[in-house]
Amino acid sequence: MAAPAAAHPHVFIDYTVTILCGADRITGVRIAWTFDEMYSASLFHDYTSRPKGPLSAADIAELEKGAFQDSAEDHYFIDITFGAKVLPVARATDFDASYDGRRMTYRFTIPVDLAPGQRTGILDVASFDTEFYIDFELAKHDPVTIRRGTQFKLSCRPEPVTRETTTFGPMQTRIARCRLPGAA
Amino acid sequence: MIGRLNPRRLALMLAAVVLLLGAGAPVRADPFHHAGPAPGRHEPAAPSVAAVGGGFMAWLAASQHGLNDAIADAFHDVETKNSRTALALILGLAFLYGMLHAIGPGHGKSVVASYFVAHPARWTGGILMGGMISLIQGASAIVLVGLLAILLQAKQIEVLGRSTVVEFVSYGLIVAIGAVMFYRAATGRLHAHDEAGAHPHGHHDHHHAGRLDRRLIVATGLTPCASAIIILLFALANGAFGLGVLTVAVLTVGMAVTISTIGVLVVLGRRALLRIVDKAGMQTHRLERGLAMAAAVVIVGVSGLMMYDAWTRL
Repeated sequence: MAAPAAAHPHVFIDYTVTILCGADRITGVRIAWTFDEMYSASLFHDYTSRPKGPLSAADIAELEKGAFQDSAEDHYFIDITFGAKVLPVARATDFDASYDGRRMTYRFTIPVDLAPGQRTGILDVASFDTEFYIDFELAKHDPVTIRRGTQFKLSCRPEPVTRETTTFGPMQTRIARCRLPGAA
Repeated sequence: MIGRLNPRRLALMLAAVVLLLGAGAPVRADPFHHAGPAPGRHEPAAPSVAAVGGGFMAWLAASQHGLNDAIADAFHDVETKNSRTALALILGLAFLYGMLHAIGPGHGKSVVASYFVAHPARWTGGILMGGMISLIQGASAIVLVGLLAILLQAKQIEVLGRSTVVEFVSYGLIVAIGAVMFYRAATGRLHAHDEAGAHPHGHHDHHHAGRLDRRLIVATGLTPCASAIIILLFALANGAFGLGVLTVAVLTVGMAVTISTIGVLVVLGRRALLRIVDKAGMQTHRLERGLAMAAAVVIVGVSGLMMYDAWTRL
């Protein structure tokens, strides 16, 4: 069921996508969410022990447990598709958080195991909340980066698409789109 | 239309809400911390043909994002530099934020529109109803944050979750009022609120443009606006609750402008429609009855959905 009452955005997140590559395959996507200042203040107030940053290891563990892990039920608001195939969103790993005094940033990795196929393939990675309680926007600076990947060339860029939301109707948004070369 | 709001009853209603809040029922705190599955979320939303509406909604969201950031920045300037310009900026931005935010779902727009489809009113009634609903929405947020975050020292993100309980109660009350509206319309007791009791044929709207339904206004306004709660919590975290209250007051005025505009447009639209039908020499009372019944169905339907939705988030 939709969430009409909660549907207008109340939390704003700027996100970046880093494609993690092994020698001959993609091993994961690293996501960074930077929360708006207001929600950041609430997170900092509720889950940390120090009056000001930086976050301690205990704070980060508390944030992960109290204000991140449960979003696994919503697949961390991450959609990964390769061609027409929706890839399963595995349990997030390597959670990290930082607070710069104004904004909270979460970083986490979704493990992926994807080898380039025979033909060119399109890999899409998006952070999106169909209920639109959270407005995810691809960051303006360095939204998509690639880490390593020596055996195959990958090209990524932000791509404007239109997605359906449960109550707002179609919504224009930018996602990360990568082109994988076919096997040589 | 269903009588005046007894102050004692209003007090009882509010007390019930407070009790519910204090009961400490486990609530889904926020999207990052909750219980229960979110069905249907997994399928990535299929990219569809680019729509004009999608661009407008994206613009609306981006504008709110920008305003939210700017308000937070100005808060810091007030705090650190004691800047009066920053204070004026916050209030101006909050007004814009309220206007834009109220365009999105919720905030009682469908209730206001349906009410004025069903009932004759003056255009000032549209302004009054929009204004009162927004005012109560703002006050409700202030009471909620004051009670939970300050008195009960609840976690900030829990406060947002608890507001779902109030939402549920609010929509439940609206459904009940809508059901009574439907009964009245269906049995031909359209303007029961008109104490003169005389009911002419409906082509002199202003003659029986009676008082507004205060219960409906209170029930609709009871739902606190989550944005108002977020601003108050932010202010509280920064040790500036007073500034937060002021900001929410102005936000409320901005929301009132949007909701009142819808109210006034519907009042005028209904009047124009009835005038056309009347001039064509047709009886208007049947149309009026049809409008009232349809409007009541919309109120019950929309609020019922909202109520169900709040239930799934409880």
